[in-house]
Amino acid sequence: MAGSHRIPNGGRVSHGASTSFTFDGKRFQGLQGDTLASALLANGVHLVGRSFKYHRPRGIFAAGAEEPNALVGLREGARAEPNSLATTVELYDGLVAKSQNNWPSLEFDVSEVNNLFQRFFSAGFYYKTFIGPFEKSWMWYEHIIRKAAGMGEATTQPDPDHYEKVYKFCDVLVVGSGPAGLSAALAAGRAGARVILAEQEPELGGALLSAPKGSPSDQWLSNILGELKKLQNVELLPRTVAWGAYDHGTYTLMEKVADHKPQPDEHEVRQRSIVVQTGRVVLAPGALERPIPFGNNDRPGIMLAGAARTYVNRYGVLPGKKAVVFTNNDSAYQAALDLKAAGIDVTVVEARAEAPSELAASCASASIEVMSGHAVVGANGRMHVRSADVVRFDAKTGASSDVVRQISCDLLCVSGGWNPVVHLSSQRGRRPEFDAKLAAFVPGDPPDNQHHAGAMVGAFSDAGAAESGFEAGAEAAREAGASKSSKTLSTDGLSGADWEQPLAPVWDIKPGEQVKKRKRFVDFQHDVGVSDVELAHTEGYVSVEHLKRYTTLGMAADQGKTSNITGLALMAELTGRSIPETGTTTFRPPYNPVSFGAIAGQETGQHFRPLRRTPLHDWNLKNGAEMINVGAWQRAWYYPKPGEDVDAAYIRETTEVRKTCGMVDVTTLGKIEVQGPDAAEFLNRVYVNGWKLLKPGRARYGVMLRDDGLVFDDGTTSRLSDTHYFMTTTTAEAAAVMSHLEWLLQCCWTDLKVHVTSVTDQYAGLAIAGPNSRGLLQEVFADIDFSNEAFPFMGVRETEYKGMPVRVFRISFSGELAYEVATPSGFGEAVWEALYEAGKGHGLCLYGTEALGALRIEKGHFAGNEIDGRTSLEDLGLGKMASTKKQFVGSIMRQREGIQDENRQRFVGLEPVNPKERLSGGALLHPHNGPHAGHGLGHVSSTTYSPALGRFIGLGLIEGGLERYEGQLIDACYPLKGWVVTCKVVSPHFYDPAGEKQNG
Amino acid sequence: MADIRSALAGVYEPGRKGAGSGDAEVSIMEVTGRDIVQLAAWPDTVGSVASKAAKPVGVALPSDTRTASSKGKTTVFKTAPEKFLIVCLLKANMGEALGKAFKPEAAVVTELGHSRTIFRVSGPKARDVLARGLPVDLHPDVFARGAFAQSGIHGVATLCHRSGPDQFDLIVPRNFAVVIYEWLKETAAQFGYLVEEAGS
Repeated sequence: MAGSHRIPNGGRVSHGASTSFTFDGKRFQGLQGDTLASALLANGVHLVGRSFKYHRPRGIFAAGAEEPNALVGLREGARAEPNSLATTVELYDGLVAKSQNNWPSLEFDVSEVNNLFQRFFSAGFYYKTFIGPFEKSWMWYEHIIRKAAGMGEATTQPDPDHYEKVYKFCDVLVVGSGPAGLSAALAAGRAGARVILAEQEPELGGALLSAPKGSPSDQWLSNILGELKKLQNVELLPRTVAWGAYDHGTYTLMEKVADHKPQPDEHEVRQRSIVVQTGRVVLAPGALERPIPFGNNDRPGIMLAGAARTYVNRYGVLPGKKAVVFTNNDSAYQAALDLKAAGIDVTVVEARAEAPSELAASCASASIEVMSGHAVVGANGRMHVRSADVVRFDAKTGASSDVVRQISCDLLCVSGGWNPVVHLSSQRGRRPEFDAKLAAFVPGDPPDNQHHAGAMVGAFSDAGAAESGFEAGAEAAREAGASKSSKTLSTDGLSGADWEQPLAPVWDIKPGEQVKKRKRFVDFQHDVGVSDVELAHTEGYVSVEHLKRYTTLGMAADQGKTSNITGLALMAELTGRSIPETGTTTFRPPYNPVSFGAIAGQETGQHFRPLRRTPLHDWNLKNGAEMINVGAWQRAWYYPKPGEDVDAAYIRETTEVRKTCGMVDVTTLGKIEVQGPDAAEFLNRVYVNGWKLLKPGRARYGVMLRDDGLVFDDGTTSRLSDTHYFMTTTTAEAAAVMSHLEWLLQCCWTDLKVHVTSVTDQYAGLAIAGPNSRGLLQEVFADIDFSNEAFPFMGVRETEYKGMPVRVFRISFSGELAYEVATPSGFGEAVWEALYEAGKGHGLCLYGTEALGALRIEKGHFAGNEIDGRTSLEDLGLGKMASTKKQFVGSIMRQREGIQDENRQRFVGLEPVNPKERLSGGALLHPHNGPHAGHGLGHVSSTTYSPALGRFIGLGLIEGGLERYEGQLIDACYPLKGWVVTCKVVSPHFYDPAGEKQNG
Repeated sequence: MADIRSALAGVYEPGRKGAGSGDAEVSIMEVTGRDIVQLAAWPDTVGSVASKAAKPVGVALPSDTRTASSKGKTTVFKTAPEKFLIVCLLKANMGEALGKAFKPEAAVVTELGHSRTIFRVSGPKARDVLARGLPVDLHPDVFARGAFAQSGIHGVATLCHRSGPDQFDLIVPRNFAVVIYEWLKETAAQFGYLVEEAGS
């Protein structure tokens, strides 16, 4: 038999399938169908962890996702996972679990000493305790507190498992598989709707699974599951929690695909994140039982009455031999009777003045003593409950007597009523409403496309839940357009007993004057007691939201599933307001904790974001390029020769380009075809300079402004025919420019006949720069006349190379005689290779983005570092470029006083006084020898070593620009490292300022 | 005509991979030999252009932006109110034919054949694979044969066209083709997949 506390052949577990597992290194036997919690209880293990603040011994309190105590570390190595809920972890053979938050052991935990200092660990203790005695005390304490805080430890190893996201679509999403959820799915399924049913547990049935095996409801369950499984349009998703509700019928689910195995099968994912787009939703998540605070109500052996019943009936486990069941409502009587039937000795402590006569009679015939008008005021026993202190109690006034009767027990069950699970309704912004009769919050009118059914709306009998679910499912299907008849629902076998009524609200058992004072816990997970709520109240806290944050009540993994309402009710009582006046907290996703793995899905590692490859990517790799990430792209950074690092390589590449010629992959520049009868007019409006006079076969440099008058982007655009232009943009702003142009055409200038099409992927782009570039291109593209007269600077030619169309642009980023070549991407490698081979006779080198940058800095071309969203045309020295004869985007706003201010930071060159001193990008420019404080006069935007000048140089922006500072010394300060480099402010055009090389 | 180098040339590897060993439930194939041309008219010409283009294109142009029209190996998508994307055999010389048929005052023609890679994903689990990236309902009742959607997979703009009962063509930007190829393989691994020889 698997466990000393197992009922022979009891419950719904597979008695033939024994599974072995370890807890804190000790080996135990469980059964297939067990949770870790039920298997531990079957072995008599109640103590499973230590509490968060006081390190008090804690046991298994619930039987589902609401469990506040039984958080354990699961698995080992890279798969180790802290804070797993023992009550939801499915047992498998070989499972390894360990307790958390204790040292040196669970049984003897040194930090339990915290328990003696409870008064210091009260609400807000961090804020109160660690603010002094000195100003920076917090800094000193913080790392100690951080070390002590938190539960469990995550692994730092990479997760070896796969996760994925799936999109699903349906007409009706049903959440929960109790009688309400199953009936809703059946009604919607019969009507012909596409239905998805999500159930967080591995088995469908919800509360019906907690009824004794062989109950009449078993047949009902089996019938309805049989029919549902036959419906092709119904998808049943066990092990799947619905955790988030969003706009427009979007719900997020998480499926535990392989958590019930030691590790996923090959190619199997471990968890799956599901985004459901649905027409209608039926929420039937049920209700969660809540405890009643009494002294030491957190001791191991104390659990929710419904949970005890579940352990007996579903898992065939005896959670104790002698039980006290403390209740204020009818539901716990079912637990008492089932416990008794399983052989447990039971005493019922009934807070109400009278037990309902029918239930009292059932108890009498089962030899269960019922103590009406009594309450449990405290529990005795430290590592396990030993006895309950019972006193006379008046539920109407909350007064309890001083006379204590001690009842020995090893199981203390408690039921304070049931809280409907309103989370997914609340997440949609619907404030729950307080139902005084149920003494609980109900969801109120369903928000947007939801329907609510079952215990969530207070339909607490099985038959009532099923009927409400069936009706909701039929209605939801009808609204979603499914028109077939749902027929009628049979509830044969389902109990009609409404098992909660009438409930006497009891939120706290205050001990009488003569009775021992013990901590009465509200929130077990965060060790928040009644006294903490009282303290918050006396310190002036009124709002529930503030109460939550100050005391931490309702925080952490369980998000207060068993504690929120009680905390709220206590606050109401203290402030003399009603519960609805006091308010309720708002629920946000997720309902249950969701792993980051499931949220990330496939988007990890290399696929964190999609990698964009140029058509020359493979060639570059094959030919030794070191690559660098530039946005989504990977570009060739440099092509090292043996022994070269990046510095050596780019200096060599830069030198060779200026001496002979070099070739660089510039495919990443944005490319846009601008076509249509109004294309010239369109460009005239988006660029600051004039475009109407540009002739076909010519290119022009253009700058675009944003609406606010600051520079947006720049590039070269060529006119291929009267109605066809080929625009290039920077790599960084390609997508932004494209959508800007589309927006202008679709929203502002709908009268213009212009289409813009991104062709960045259509063409490979390469640039050849250097004095030998003309000779090389002439050799390869022989039918173009490359002479300066025939093909001047800013000329454009089209030709074919071995049947491959080629466009050649005479433009230059480097300041050298240079050309850019565009060819359809599928020909990119062939054209590149042809030029590479022919280039061997012309001294051609390959160069990457590092040398590209060095060349443009030498030439004094600004790039993304300078077009940083804050610079104006004047700042970049382009004020004269703007046409005064036309309007263009930004033409009005650029005239603003602030943008025209001559004191703005403007584009300059920087030369370190010591040519060997390296400038740092981002360094602040301060007056020479002046105060090196504040934001300075400007900053260094780009730096490089210039082989042409044999020194380090930089570009920057400085207040007043060249006009004020040309020839003067300035200090470039890098405060993070304490570096100061003195430089001279010079013209940014370091290399060939007259442009003889590029134009010659 | 010179050979067009596929964006997948460095990584494409036909064969049966992933879970199981029998017939793969998903097939992945690069569709080659296709040209893609965009025909973009103006608000006042789109009607006449659409009817006039039927002859050079070889199939009537679609009137809505959710259903493609196909004939043989030519498929036309209406991708925007005035824009048509024509996918056809390379040898059709579609760009040239349309350029001759329409003056810019009527419509403009843009060559896009090299800008896209076309994947064909087929088999009984094709829909399940795509559901792991494409936020589009592919249920045959709402996404019947011929239907198409412009959406995205893994952050990459994707046009998905149901070209057969269990067959979907994905048209993706060429420079992201390797990413989508890797994504398809990784996602299909749990079902077992076959990478077919690239073909027309």
